[in-house]
Amino acid sequence: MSFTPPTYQYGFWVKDRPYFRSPHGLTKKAVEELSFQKNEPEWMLKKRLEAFDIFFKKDMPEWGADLSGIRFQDIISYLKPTAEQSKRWEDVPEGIKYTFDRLGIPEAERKFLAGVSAQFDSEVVYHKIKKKLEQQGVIFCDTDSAIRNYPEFFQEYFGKLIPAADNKFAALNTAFWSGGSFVYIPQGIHVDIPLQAYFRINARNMGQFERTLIIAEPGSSVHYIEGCTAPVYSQDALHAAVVEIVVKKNARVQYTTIQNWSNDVYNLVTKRAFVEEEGEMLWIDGNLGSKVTMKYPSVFLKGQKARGEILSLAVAGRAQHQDAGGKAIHIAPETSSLITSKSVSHTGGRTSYRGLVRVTPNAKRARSHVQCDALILDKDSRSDTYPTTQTNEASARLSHEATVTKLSDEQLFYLKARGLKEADARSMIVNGFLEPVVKTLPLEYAIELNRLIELQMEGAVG
Amino acid sequence: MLLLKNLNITVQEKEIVHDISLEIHPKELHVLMGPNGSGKSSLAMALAGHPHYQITGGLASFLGKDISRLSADERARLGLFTLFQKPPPIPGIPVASFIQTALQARSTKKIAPRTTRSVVASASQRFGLPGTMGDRELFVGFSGGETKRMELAILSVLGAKIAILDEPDSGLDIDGMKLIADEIVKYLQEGLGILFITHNPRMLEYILPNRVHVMIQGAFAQSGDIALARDIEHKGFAPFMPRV
Repeated sequence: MSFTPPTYQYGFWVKDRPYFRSPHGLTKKAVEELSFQKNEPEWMLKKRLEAFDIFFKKDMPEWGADLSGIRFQDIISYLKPTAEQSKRWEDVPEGIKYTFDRLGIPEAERKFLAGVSAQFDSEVVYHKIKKKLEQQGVIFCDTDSAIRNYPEFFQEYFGKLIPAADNKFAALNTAFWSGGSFVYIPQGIHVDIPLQAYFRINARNMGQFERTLIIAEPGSSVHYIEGCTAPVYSQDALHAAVVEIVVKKNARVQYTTIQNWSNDVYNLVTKRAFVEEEGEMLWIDGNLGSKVTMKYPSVFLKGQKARGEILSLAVAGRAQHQDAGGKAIHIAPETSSLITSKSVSHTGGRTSYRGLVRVTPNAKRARSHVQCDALILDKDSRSDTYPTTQTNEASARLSHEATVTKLSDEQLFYLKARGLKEADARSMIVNGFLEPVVKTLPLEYAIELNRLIELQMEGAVG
Repeated sequence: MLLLKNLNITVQEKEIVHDISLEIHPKELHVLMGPNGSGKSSLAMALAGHPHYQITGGLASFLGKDISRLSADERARLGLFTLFQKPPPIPGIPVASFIQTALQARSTKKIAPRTTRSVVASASQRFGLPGTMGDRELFVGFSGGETKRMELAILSVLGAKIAILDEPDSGLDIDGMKLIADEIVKYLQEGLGILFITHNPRMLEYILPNRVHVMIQGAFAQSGDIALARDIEHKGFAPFMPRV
């Protein structure tokens, strides 16, 4: 193939013909129109409108990444996909097909990812899964229909973990949210296969302001996977998702995301889990794409012996800033948390670890460990660490370790002396560095992620 | 095959290896001896293509190609192998996946990881390492002896036409030395040409070199046969040192 990959190898777009677009941008009227289009209950509209006011009152966060490039007036608040899928595989740019080839993405999946097919073609497989889930009483659907079909959960939990007033982007999301997933796991049910967002047979999960709610009843467990390592082109310059997860007594939830937005996207996400007695929450959060990411998945350890773990992985290349990390709030005794951050900056990219560990006076014998390791591949790139610890609890045991490593010339030379090309040698070192996080991913994700990093490294060298 | 003619090597603008000439053919064993700091390892690193060691004069050619123009990986893929005294640990990368990538870099055909795994297992065993060595992270927590054995196992898997073995015997016990000597003999029989750098003339009781070179202060002081090595065993390097 004589195709030369474009500068941004992973992004793509296909012309979209939306049949509804708010002409007003961020206005009250747009909120009302959106709610009307969705045929929502009255109380949801009320929440949206309240959030809308809060959004305007809230200041931009000044403490993190540079957000001065965001132009709110340009934000498209709601884009409903056309009823008929009119995109054709032939229209997908060669560059995207090339990337899919390199990533080894199966044919059926490619069409979905390219927006050619609204549904993932493993529908047959999905129906089997769906049937089993239904028998178990598991609910797994898009948030829009969940609001209509299961309003009781939303009245109880929507915005309870992350109120609109939490931050400006949570407010924006609450006012304009659309899409996202709703997952409900009844008491004692263990879902033994990972629930993947793209099984939802609905392209709307790629929304701009997704809203996800997961409820795991006592003694249940689930692994939810959002998005995929495959490239996602978005027309939206700003993505502000909100994810709320309730982990009840003895329940376990794992939430895995690998984000790979194209390099012009601001990705500002608020993710929070409440964990009750002896419950366990595990966030695995990978950030490769976007222009700016600000994302700090949080665990609020509310019940005795609740446990939270956050694995954050960030790779920043040219003109990218990944400001990522995690927060652990210890509210109950004997709670424990582990935050592991691995970041790689290359070709002038910047990564920051930003984290908070707070132990309230009631959280006797709380334990927490924070480990952040940064790898810097060249002198133009940068990495910083902003850890915050707040505690007055004498019985708490907290530790923090941080390492910053420059790409080792000796490692690079050894690998080259064994015949590896520069790019392969670099990606091998990077993959090895990230391995402790990558090995926690489902195998197919781990493989895709490694390939993706190899692709990025090729760009970094060439 | 490997031809060095009046070779000079410079590190940070200081010439440290002067006027070296040498010719190694397949199945030949050349031994390079010399006191610490005489420039033996610098010669090895320069031939491997380390960016700090520059060829600033003379000719280094391998398979008829001027290697000073080639990058380290190009030299390696041509079949020039340099054994490292202290290879750096590569955390998170199992030996087998490293070898898989290195093999794949030499082949246009797809190599099955499963094949690589079994090849790595048998090569490890050939050098007295456990067959599960392929699962270990590359050189992470390896002892000195394990490192040497692994490097030689890697050579046997990747293959080469000329190998520069920089003190493969250091840090090994007597059994290890014997094992490695036996394997070197096998390599020679298989057609490999070897430049063997050692401090240790006793190693040569097990393998008969074609040529012995003594390096003093960056230059060859003398070249000869096994008799020269025996001389050094008895008298040390003092007779070769310049008189002040």
